[in-house]
Amino acid sequence: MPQIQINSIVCLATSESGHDEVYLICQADAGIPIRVPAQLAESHAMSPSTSDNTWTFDDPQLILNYEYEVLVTLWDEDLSYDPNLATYLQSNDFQYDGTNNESIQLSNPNGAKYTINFTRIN
Amino acid sequence: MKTTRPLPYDGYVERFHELKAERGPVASKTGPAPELSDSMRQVFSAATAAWNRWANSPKGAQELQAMRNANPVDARLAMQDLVSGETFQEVRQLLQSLDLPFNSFSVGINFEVELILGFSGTLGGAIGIGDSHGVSASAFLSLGLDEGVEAGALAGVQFGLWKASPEDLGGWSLGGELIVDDELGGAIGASWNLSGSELQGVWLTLGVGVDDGGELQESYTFILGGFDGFLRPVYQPRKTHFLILTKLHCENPSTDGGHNEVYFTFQADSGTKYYYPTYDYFAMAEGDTWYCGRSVMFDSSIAITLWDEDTGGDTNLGSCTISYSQLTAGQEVKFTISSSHGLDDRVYYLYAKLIY
Repeated sequence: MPQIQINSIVCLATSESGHDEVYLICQADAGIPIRVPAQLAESHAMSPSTSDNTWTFDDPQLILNYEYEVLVTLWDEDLSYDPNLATYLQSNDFQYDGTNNESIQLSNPNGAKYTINFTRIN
Repeated sequence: MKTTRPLPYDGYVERFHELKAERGPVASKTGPAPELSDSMRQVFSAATAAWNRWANSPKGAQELQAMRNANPVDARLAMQDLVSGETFQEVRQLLQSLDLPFNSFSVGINFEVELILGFSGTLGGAIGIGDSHGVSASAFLSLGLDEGVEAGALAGVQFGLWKASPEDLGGWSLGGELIVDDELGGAIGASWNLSGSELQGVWLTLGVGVDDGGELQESYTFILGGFDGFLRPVYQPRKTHFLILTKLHCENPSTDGGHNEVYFTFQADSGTKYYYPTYDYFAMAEGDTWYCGRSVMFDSSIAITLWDEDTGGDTNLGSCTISYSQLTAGQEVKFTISSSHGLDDRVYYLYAKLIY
């Protein structure tokens, strides 16, 4: 079964002034979604400044198992507990293509620009 | 911090308190402990094996962890799918071959109710057996005050055999763990009605910290149905075919400031309606391509509607239907979504790739 490891996310630009309060929804093969951070209302503050532009997943690592694809969506949490008020930043659908280490840059007309750094494990 | 909408499980906890204030007296002891028959042991043993195969697989472990943190909407869909799907197929076949005095079999995961102190929860899926075989299935949430519950039990899984059919599992019960069963590797427990006179079911809990002869605990089971207000579903039950909506191209947006605030709904086989993005939208202007990468499970067809989010009411940009017969595995197919309003012609192209 293929695996993909999300190593880090880098903020090049936010969707709003100040910080984006970023969380991920990772969904493999249209299955049960995984929230990162797991706890409701938790997020990771990000901005392009060097002090908080990189969110690194090393403890714990973020390794996603999938059969055909895994859709990783970045959200900006605007009001705790209410996903209706979250802002969609961007998403990428990872499918197995035989390549290894990679990064992908995603942008949104709302200003958000993020890079996902990842490694294909299998 | 005061929120405008409730927490995912708030409503159930609030209702628990209301129901507790309304209910009558609770017995301090129950009828005799039920005997575990060979057939019941067979079922629990098979369920344990099936569960361990799934939970110990890389994908299963990932899904189990996700379920523990999922909101009620996705958790309900996923639990129903789990107990009805491939993982427990052999268990269901075994249940059909046995003559048991029960009408439901359930699989439930114990978890912490988010941010609510003093409550334990079991989120489960139940299917009909015996006279209720093939008749119904349900998903449920059982909430109980956590006095007397070992902390480790919150990590466990519970298999249950119940007198009631799946749709009738709701209501009060008085339950407790009776004995640790080394052969089955967990604790056997039972549930009675609140007067302690009528046995409702027998269950096996696996997990760390299970104890022998715990105190009686009252709990209320809610049958989960429909969708919880503001939460939209994300989990899709397994179906025959699987495709990816790879990209959406804006050929000509509506004359609305030169761009549209786009989201689409998709509905496989006239079933549950899903949104993508699940909330919010993606702004698109002429010539833009959105690599949406939205996977969809379906049996025969998917109805897709494209929307432009507007303050005064969202605008329907058009629809298309994707049928399995139009697709070939591995090939991307283009579908046109268009609509007109006066002189305003909107055209989008949606691309779909069939996986299987």
